[in-house]
Amino acid sequence: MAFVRAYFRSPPAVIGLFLLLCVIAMAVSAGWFFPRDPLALAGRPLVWPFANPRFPLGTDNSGRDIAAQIFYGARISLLIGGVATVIAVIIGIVIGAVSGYYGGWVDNVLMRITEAFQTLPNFLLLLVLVAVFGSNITTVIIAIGIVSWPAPARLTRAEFLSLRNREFVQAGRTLGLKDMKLIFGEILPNALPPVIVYASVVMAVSILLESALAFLGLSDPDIASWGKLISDGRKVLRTDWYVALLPGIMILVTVLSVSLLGQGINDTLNPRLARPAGADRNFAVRDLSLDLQRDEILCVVGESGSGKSVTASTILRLLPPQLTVTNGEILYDDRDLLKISAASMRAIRGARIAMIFQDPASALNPLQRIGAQIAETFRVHGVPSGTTPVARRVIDLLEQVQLPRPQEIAQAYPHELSGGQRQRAMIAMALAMEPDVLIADEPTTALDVTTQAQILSLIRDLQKRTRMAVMFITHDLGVVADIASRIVVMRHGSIVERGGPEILDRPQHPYTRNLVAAVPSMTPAAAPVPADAPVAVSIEGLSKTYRRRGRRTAALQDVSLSVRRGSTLGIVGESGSGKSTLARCLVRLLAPDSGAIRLGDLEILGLSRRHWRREVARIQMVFQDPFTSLNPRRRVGDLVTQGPILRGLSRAEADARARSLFDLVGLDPSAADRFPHEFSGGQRQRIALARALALEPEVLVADEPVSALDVSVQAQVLKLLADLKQRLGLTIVFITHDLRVAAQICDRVAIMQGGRLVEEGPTADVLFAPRQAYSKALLAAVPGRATGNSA
Amino acid sequence: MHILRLAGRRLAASIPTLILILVGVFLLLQLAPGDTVDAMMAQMGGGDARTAEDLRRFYGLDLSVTAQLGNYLWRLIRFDLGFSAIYGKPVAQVIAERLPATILLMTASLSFAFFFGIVFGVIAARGVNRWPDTLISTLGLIFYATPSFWFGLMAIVVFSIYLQWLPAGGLSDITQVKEGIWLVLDTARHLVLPTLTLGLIFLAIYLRIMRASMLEVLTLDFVRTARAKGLDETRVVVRHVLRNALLPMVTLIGLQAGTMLGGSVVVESVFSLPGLGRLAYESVVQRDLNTLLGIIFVSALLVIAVNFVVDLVYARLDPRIKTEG
Repeated sequence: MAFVRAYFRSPPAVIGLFLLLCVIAMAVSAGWFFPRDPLALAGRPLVWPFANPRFPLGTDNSGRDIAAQIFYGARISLLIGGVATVIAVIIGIVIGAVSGYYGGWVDNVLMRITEAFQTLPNFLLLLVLVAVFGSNITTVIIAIGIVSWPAPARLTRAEFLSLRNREFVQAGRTLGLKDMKLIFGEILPNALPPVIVYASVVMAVSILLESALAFLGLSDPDIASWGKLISDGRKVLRTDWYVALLPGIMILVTVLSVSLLGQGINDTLNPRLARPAGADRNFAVRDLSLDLQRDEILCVVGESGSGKSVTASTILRLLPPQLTVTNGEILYDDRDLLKISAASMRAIRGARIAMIFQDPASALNPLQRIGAQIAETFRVHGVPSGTTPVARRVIDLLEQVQLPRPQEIAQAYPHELSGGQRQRAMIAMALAMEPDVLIADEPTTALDVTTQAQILSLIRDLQKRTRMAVMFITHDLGVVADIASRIVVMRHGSIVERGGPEILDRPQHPYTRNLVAAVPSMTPAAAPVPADAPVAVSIEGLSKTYRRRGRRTAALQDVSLSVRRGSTLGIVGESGSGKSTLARCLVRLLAPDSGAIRLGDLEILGLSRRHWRREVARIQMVFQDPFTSLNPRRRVGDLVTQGPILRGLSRAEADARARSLFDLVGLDPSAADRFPHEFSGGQRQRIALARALALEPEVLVADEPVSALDVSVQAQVLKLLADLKQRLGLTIVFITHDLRVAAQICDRVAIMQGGRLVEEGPTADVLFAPRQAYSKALLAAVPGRATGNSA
Repeated sequence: MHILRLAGRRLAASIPTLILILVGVFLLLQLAPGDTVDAMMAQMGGGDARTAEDLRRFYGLDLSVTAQLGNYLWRLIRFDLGFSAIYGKPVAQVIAERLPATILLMTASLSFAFFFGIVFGVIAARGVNRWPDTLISTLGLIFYATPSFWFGLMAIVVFSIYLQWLPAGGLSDITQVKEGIWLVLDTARHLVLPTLTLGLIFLAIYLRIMRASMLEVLTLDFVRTARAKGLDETRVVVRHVLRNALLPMVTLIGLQAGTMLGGSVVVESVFSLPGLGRLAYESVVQRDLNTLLGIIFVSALLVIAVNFVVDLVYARLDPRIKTEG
């Protein structure tokens, strides 16, 4: 119902639907208005429209009623367009689904065939098919369907490719779903909407193809169609052009209505103006006042939706168009930045006030060299002539941000640099005009901890040297402790507390107190499991190498580990360390090249797929992103009961189990009837936990289960996990990049780097007496540690 | 060098596609009722069975399908497309005579559609949801829905019959012999209406894609970076948005090459242009299967060639291609 209401809100969509209904009405009523054969001789030839009331639209060169042909033509257009579309879309979906899901040689072969069809001009193929099989209507329909399938096939394949590695599909696989169920139950419902929208394009093209065939005289000669009428009209074009005029307009209107309909459905399915996160309040920021002094680093801290980034963007007037400032002023140099002209604002941007952003990978233009992008700042704002040339200045800047081989970096494209290098280049760009103010919007969030530590110290050093004012936006209290000279804490668009760094140790406002308390401490919380407990999972000599386009990346190199029953092993590492690959090997989402994995006494890598599906309940997984790990088209109750029902429980039993699990993970059991998008991130992660626990596993593999959550929610989920482990006697393999989180939940920690195991031991030993250089570096990089903050 | 190697690899990868097409269409044509000899006999006004048998032996049509296919492919390798019984000439020669008109028409239409697609797409995206956007987007939808042959006929009615500004058909004025610059101008005059007719639907597609692509790129982070640097909107669009937004347009040319060639069948028929498309139509009507197969071969080559050029251009535009290889 909501869909229908949203659809009718768009005028073009309503017009499209109305026009199409008119054409359908013509097709349906043709026999009633014109009971005679439309191709039969009806009167004198070439009677002009309105000249004879018997033929309101006139007659053609053979004396046939044009109005009758127009009405019957609607039948043919809709019939051929509709049926050919169904044929093309069904073939396309099947081929695209198989190709995208299985990949490998199947995909290769099918895509070669698709490519062949696309290389051959479709109209030529249509001519050949009609030439070979004759011009009757069935042939024409099938032929149009056959030449039109490649585009929907490619679209379906692309959707499948992007969906098949989505976490909710992998989750289905870890539940033991078979391929067919994954394809039709999990992936297809999510892949279908764009394909259905595209069907309108296929139908439009089919109608045009049919009319073109009829125009050339290659369609069924015994049937009245618009194309054929135009073809007849062509013979008398010089004098009686009206014969060809009307059928053309009919084709145009029909194709237009189908296009509008498709566009309307598309707009309804993907509303263009999605409301930004946290937009459920009228004001993103309300009544906010703060000042930023020369020579200080002001940290603006807050969780997602607190309005901290909006505040930062407002200063440079870089807000998205749907957000406007209703009142207030931003004073810089005694001028109100909200009131000055656009040109004066541009003169300040990048010159007096510069900004760096969260994701350096997307904040740089991928098609321009780094040097050119930095030089552009000089080109815009100008450098005094006769001073250092721009090229020299660019190199100086790259040196200032401590990039090695600045000459080469200046010539490089962004994709050729690492994340840390890109952020350094961004900083160089911001420093170009020696600004008074630098606004840094979560500049280290997308980086690994060791890189983060380097960038933080770079920003600190540069600030000291240039004495500029830095406004540093972050959600990470550890980072704040490392860098802030002053702190502002934001919540729901307002400041709740402000002060010096000491407020982290003595927070006054309850919200700040909660926030600080939620930051996991580095002091290990879990007691080690006795060494005589039986081994629940053991990994021996696991290796895995990815081969992509001729390049090999060793994701796992000879990793051996074991986890005792009831214990929690933390696997800690930065991006590219192989920790996620290891997690996926454990639940057989990935097949390692060599090595062994034992669940108790059972070696799982050698099992047949069928045998593995019987054992799958023993080891379950929780994924990182709670927004992609739940199938958006299933009710959450279904998500939890799916696994148990597959293992033979009755629906009633499974429902009962789901209810008790919801209770266990702290959700209202009545939530079962709702869809995932109605829940917050933390609640979704609880649902994901319930789904994994529904199979009553011995071992739970948790892949970064809290890294997408705000710190206060993270604390709740960690507490829940610790609690569940106690009550259910679970063994947990906990993958994380965050040593603080590991300290809280794990009794043993393994540190990985570049696919190798660096060291492994009881949490306290690894955290306080690391033996390896890399572990020491990793620990030293943990934000908030250097200042001794015990938060 | 890197680009050339990439392009070479793409070219090699299209050979299996080409073979697949030729074998597929060859086998398909075996299913056709009647062969070339039947068509010839019909043209000669009938003949006895012996003559037909001799002719079949002469053209190798008495062999098994596999042997015929082998023969055909072997001749193709030597660029021998066979003999057209209808035209009484080698197929290669028939096609060569018809190819220039089609290439001229396609180049003109593509340039027209691509250039104005970019211009209108940019204008629409800059004024999104305001009147220029509404007007351009509506026109785009209408152009997309217009059947090209009908548009061509109506253009002839208006511009050739009533206004008498432009010729109604043909590639040049056959009543006078022209040379040099006059010949070029005369051909251009003859090509105006066919170019518009064939290009219209592609103009609609390109402007829609360009508009969407611009809007998409405008939301990307590096555009915000450019604004934060102090660039004005014109410079943001010209220096940062345009080139990124062009990437999907370039891809589209390759994908649409085949469709455009198919569209020329109809347009060449409407304007009686001596091109490949009309030849295809004629050979279907006259059951000249040898010529039809030759046209398919040449069309596929054309599409592959267009895609080859598109690949080169894309690699020039996007530095990420080279390292990914």
